[in-house]
Formats: sequence, C-alpha cells, structure tokens
Amino acid sequence: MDPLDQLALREGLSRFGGERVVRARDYFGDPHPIDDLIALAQRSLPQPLLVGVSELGKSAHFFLPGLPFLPVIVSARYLGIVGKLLSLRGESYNLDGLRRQAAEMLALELIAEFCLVDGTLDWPAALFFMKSRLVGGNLLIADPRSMGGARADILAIPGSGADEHYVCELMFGLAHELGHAIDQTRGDGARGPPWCSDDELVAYRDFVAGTFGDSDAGLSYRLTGASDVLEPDRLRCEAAADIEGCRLIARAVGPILAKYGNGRATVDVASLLDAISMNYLALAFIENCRRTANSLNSTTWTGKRLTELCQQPIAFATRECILKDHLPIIVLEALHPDRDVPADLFGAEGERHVRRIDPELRGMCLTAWDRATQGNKGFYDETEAGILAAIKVSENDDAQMQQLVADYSKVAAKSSFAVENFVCLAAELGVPDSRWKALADAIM
Amino acid sequence: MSDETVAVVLEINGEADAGLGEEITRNVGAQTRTLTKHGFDGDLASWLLVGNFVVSSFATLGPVLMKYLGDRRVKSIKVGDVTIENPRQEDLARILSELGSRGNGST
Repeated sequence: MDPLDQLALREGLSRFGGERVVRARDYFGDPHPIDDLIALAQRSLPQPLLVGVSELGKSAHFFLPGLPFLPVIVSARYLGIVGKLLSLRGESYNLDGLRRQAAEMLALELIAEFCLVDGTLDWPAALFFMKSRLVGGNLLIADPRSMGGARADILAIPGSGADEHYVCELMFGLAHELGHAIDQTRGDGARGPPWCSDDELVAYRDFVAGTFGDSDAGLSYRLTGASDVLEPDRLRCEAAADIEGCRLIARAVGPILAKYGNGRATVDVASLLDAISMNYLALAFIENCRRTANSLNSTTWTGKRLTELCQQPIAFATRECILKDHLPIIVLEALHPDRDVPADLFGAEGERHVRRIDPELRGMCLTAWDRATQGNKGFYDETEAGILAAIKVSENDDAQMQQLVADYSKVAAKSSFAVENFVCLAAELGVPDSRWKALADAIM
Repeated sequence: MSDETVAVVLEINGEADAGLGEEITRNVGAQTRTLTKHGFDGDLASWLLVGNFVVSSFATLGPVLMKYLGDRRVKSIKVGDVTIENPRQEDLARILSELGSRGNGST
C-alpha cells in the first residue's frame, strides 16, 4: 500500500465510516461465520478485500472502489437497526394493531436518528422522536442489538446454532455491497445483467408502478413519470447487486450451517427464501426512512425531491420483483450445482431456464416470498405511513409543531429508557456534544 | 522552493468524475485517488478526491480546482489540518494562495 493509498483509505474511512473502524477479524472474532461469505466473495474479485467494521459511524454499510484493494465496511449500527426491526416479527407483536403501531413508531424514530446522525437537523430530529413516542404510546421495542455495550449480541450465534435467518440478518447488507463490487468487475461496457435491458427494466417498472394504484407513489408515477430513483441505470445497478448478493448468501449458507449450525447438513430452502425476503424488506424499510431524512436535510424542499421520495417505494418494489424472478435459479445453482444450470446467470439462456427448468422450485420461491411479504406487510406499509407523518411535521406548520410538543409534554414519559437511549445513541454515534445536549433539552 | 507536501481532500456531491484527477496529473504532475460511496438505494452520497501536493504546486493547483469545480457542490475541503465545510470559491482560493505563497518563500 503506497502512502497515497494509505492517505485515501484513512480519509475515506474517517469520513464515511466514522472515527472507529476496526478490522472485521478483530471485531467479529476469528473464526466467524462471516469469514465464509468474505472468502467466497474474494474468489470473484481481482483485488484483495479489506473488510472492516464501523463501530460508531453512520448506519450504512459501504465499499470504496478506487484503490488497489477493496475496503468494504460493515456498520454495526445498521446491524443493530435490522435486529430491532426484525424483532417485530416475534409472536408477542401479534396483538391486533400492535405490530403496525410499533413499526410506525420505529419508522419515525429512525427518521429522527438519520436527521441527527447523518445530517445536521437537530430540531426535526427532536420532533420526529417526540412523534414516535406519541405514536408508539411509550411502547419500548426491545433492542437486543443496540450499540451500547451489547456488541456480543450482534455477533452471537444462537444457542440452537446458526440458521438461515441468522446468516441473512447478519450478512444480507454486506452481501449486497459485495454484490456491487462483483458486478463492477464486469467493466463499464458490460456492467449489469444483459437480461435487464432498458426496455425490460421499464417493463418491470411499469408493471410494479401499476400495482401502487392511487397511492401517492402510484399517482406520482402516473402524473409526472419516472423520477431519477426509477432510472433504468440505477435500477439495473442495484438489482444486479441484489442478485449477486443473494447468490453469495445462497452459496455461503450451506458451508456456514455445516460449520456453525449444530450439525445441520442441509439448507432449508423455504427458510432461506423467507430470510432473504425478510431482510430485503428490512433494507427497503430502513432506506425509505433514510431518504426521508436526507430529503429533509436538503437545503431546499423541491418538487423533484418530493417526487423522488414518493416514488422510492416503487424502486424497491421493482428491485424486489426482479430479485424474486431470479431467485429460483440462484438457489438452484447454489444448492444443486450438479444440475444443468447455466453458469452465467445473466445470460438470455439463463433467463429462459429460470422460467422453464424447475417450475416446482419457482413455485416454492414465489410462495415463500409471498408468505414472508404478507407477514411483514403490516410493518412495511407503516414505512409509508411514517414517512407521510414525517413530511407533515416538516411542513413548518408552527401550530402543528406546538401541538406536538404540547402533547408530548403531557403524554410521553420523558424519563423513559427509550428517551435516554436515544440521547445516548446520538452521543455514541458521534453527534457533537452541543447538538445532542440540545436534543436532550428538547426531549427529556 | 519548499518541497513540503500537504494532503488535500475534497468531498464533493454528485457523480464521481475521473476527469479532475486526470487534469491534476496533467497540469500539476501529482497523483490523486478518487473514492466514491453509494447508498443502499443507489443514491450517490458523495465522492472524495485525495492527493498529496508539494506546497509550491498550489499556484497551479488552485486554478485547476477552480475551473473544474465551477458550480459543483463541494461539501468540504481539507488542506493539511484545516477543514472548511461548504467552502465558497474564495475560501478555497485564499487557503491555497496562502499556503502556496508559503511554499514560494513568502510568509
């Protein structure tokens, strides 16, 4: 590594990953199931991977192309958020309306966090947090994978052994980033799956947008056409990363279960598909909240930004549709490599195989995905509800804000663990003292 | 002329463009590295241009940066230990000019 590479790496990590980035091996321990995924990805990449963990940085994984090696950074906080979100799947949230209420609360809380940590907005952060407490009725979602001292929980293999859900929860986001890196090895001229020409992507997009009916997203698409978030190039790039990431997961899960699954010899395909679907929905949920916060952080609230925000759910649903269509062949290739599956997933021939070769597996994929989607639809839908609520708060309606603050003062438990936890989190994640103290004054 | 080197880091919003690095190499004779970062939703967060420059080259570097940056939004510039967030063009010109004149023996 020459001195300029070292300088670029140091600057890239500190700006995008925060001040505490450590080697994955030091963070996760050695050996760890994540090693198998990394080793598998390394085989498809020409440059050495350098995987690190951002302990206290922004809550997003990322990679940094442009150096002779490839830094890929896992955000510990992102893992914490995913853990918290997916905890809503538990039986205890099966009470009427409770899961939706918790999801809306969490969406608002995440928007508050992103406003504060990823941006510069203290006051909206305080407002969204107050609103989340009001919406949630002071509900406290267990946060077993929070940052504060519970690091081991993020990493711990369940007592029953690693399973498909453990693998996906821990590695889905990382696999997506590695999927980008693998996709980029195809070079600019050939980047992305050839089966997804512009025309095919637009056909996917139109089909998906049609399913949004008269919702804000559907109306926006019909009235204004596709915004930047729905451009074919962007959809192609992200869909390719989704697919390559899932392929990595599908290939890695067998060896991981064999080593860490308490004697598990085979992968449960339905469980794997359920876990992939679940984690894809979690990613979409979190990123919809992040986009809201980013939009609010913009200096100007333009029609273009509002359109992009409205149409973001269509972008995720389009990617989901593409991924779902290609999962059968990914799974078939990964779990049954001896079968007659074309090596090039993205070839036109591969596309025909997807539709023809194994209708049974295809049917199973669709069923598992739809079941998982149904199971999560309650809280996924609340992303949009949370975002709409957030936009209303952001409209600078003084009367509404005053009412919100007044309601919060009367109803919310200001000394609750959730409030203290949020303020501590702000401090832990590197928000300057003056800002998180101002936040504390507002909400405590 | 001083041969002291100073690290310069620009963080810029928008699509990464190798053109700036190439122009710097051509005109200033220094190597740079360009690092990009994307979000999970494909949104481009920002990109970094990182280089180590001989202070005496700042007189040449300044106009290249100014011409290139134009109306692009620079989130921050770091020159040595000094970081300016949302710099105006005159901020960038001033800091490069002051450091450049130091490299040329002025104070």
